[in-house]
Amino acid sequence: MPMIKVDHLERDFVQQNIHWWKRTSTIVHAVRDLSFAVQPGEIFGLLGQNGAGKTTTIKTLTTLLLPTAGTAQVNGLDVARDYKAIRQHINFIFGGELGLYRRLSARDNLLYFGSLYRLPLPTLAKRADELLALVGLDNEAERLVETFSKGMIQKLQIARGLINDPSVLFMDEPTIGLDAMSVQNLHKIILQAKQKGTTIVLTTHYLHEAEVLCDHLVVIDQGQKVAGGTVAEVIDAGQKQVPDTAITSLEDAYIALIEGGGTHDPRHLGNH
Amino acid sequence: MMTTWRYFWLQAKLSFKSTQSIFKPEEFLLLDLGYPIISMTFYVLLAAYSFNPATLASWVVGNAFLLCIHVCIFVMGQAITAERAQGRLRTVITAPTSDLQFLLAKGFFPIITVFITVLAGFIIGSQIFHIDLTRIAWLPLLACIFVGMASATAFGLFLATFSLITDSMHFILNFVATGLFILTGANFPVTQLPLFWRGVSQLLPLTHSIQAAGQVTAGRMAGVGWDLLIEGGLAVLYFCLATVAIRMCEHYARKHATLEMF
Amino acid sequence: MIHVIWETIKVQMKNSWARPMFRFTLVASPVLNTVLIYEMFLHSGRHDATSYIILGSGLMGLWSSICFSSIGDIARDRYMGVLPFLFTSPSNYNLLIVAKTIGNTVLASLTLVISAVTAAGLFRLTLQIPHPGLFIAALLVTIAGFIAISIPISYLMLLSRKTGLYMNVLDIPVTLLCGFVFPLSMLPSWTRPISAVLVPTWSTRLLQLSLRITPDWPAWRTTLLWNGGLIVVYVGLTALFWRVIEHRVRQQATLEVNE
Repeated sequence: MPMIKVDHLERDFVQQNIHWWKRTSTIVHAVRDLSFAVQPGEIFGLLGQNGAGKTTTIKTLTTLLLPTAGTAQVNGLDVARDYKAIRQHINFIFGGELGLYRRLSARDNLLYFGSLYRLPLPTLAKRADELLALVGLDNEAERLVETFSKGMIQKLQIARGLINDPSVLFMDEPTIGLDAMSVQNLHKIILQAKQKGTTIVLTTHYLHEAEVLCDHLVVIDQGQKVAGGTVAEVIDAGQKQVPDTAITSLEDAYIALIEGGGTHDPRHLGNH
Repeated sequence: MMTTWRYFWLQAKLSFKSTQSIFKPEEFLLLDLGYPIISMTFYVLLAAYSFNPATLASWVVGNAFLLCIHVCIFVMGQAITAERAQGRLRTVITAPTSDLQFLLAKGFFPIITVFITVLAGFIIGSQIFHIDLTRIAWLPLLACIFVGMASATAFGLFLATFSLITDSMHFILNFVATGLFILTGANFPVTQLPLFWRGVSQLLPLTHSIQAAGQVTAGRMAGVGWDLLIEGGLAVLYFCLATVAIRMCEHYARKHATLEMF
Repeated sequence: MIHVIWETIKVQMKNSWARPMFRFTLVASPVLNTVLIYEMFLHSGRHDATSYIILGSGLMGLWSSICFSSIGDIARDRYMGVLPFLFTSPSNYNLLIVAKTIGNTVLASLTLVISAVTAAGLFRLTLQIPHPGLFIAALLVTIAGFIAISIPISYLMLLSRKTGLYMNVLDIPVTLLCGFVFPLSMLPSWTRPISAVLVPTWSTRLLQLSLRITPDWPAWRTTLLWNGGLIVVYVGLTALFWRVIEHRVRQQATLEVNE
């Protein structure tokens, strides 16, 4: 049984436009008819341009958003109906520097978020220390987060994401803005989590990263799936788009797929 | 139960710690000490001119109680907004701990500080406006402040849930805060209000505790117990409303994508 | 240059209106203040109650709008990280602030109208204006005075990272010290010099003078002189602050956010 099953998922947004007293709204179709499955223990990549619908998909799977149509399941549980049960088993990491208490130390942050997950209190401190060691922040445990560099914040985000030992870890552009060393360290941590059996869903703009880490992936464009499978299968799909050019990397395949499939604009479908 | 309390204590402690920065004397003097006193002085002086009363005790009491608005309405009411702006709301919402426990833990220490603020405001205001503190029954007065703060906090929690569905929290909170200046009887008797608004004032936090505290400072105890009972009842009512509202708002937020920044 | 100022004024008015908080200070706040002050003066029997209710609550709203808009704009620009770009752009930031402040103050003057409409609509209370010409003149001087005071304050905010803090604490003290809703004789005498150097004190007095049936010309002359003199002083301060600030913000790095 797949760990995640997305079936004809759709998600619309109403975008408000205010001009003095006049208020108009536009419906934006962020995700359209999207289907894929993620097997337990694999690293699964969601690739696409900015605004392609990757983050919306992740937010739906992490129970932050309800689907407009279609279904999505995590560990056999429906994201719309069984969201409380799903939340026990998942966690997520979003790129960027937000999401932590800047005036708390790294350790206090983990203790706080751990308490929200109701981890047993006697082991909570131990778990926090273990995770700090895992991400290489054990010497900075008592430092305030506001004094951290981008790379250190991202390491702490990873530790926070692993605090409840989730079965599924969602990562939305986790390496954005990091230097090469930090990226390599994060890749190691991601692979370690995979070895422990954690299923990981990852969005990234760095195609080399997807190539190195992902077992399977889907390419989304304007809310729709344009290709999916292993890296080799996606390269094949890209090759079919441009039979006259030799496609050898995921990056070439991705560009071919986006350029080939990006002829429709579903965004502005009417004013209300 | 004991475990829940220990989680709550840890969360309350760390929430409070996360809002504290290094002590800055100018911030303390301006924001925590000077501004509340000037604000209270303004309304009491306005009352002194417009009502020209023999004693300003009831205005000092009423406006000292209103000093809690900063924390109970604005801080509590923006608890969710601040989490959203800092990108933590998604983690908080998806964690198994109930949203209400999270909010209560956030409010625990601020309530203690606001209790002290109101008490200090009353004592300082009494010194400025020459109110005799020697005849005051302190225990009932402290009870009035405590119950008033509890219901104002519960009300703030109830308002905080709205931030899951609207981006106009500044507007709502300012509107409500000014409304409390008008409707709680702090600045003029609620009997002056039209019938409908008199009814509304009875359902708002602070009205009954201000009335009770006014009685206590005047050296009377008639009706104090009854007023405190109603104020306590309102605290429970707003607490329950907040519980229901937060469940409904969370569903709305997932449907309309209002959990994130607007 | 006129075009730049006009465009900035227009954009500023539009931007301000889009913010819920501005709409609160502009519309809801004067309505609520009028209700509160009306109820407080209801049984006062004072002959000046109507002017305090209508003008007082309007001026309170006007000052709040200035605190939270003109002065708050710098906090917002800084928070959004655009302040360094505005500051270093070839266009004159000075001019932008002046234009923004004019836009805000003109829009915020609506609070006076809203207070008057609220008093008339809810309480059948109208301000008797015996000399409309004098009243309009006083109103124009008031708006000029409010613009003049808010610009140097805005500049001072560039020096500090705690704009939000000062923005909040400037609101009530000025209302208290400038006699918007009760006479300055209610205050202790040591506050008089502070009141005297704040132009809203004299604008308020001018507005009150303009409501007298028989104009008190000597008082008009003195009050106008104070208004004019203070406006000139504020313009001078603006120029001075600008020179100092241009240097000091680079020295103290206060253009960036520091939580």
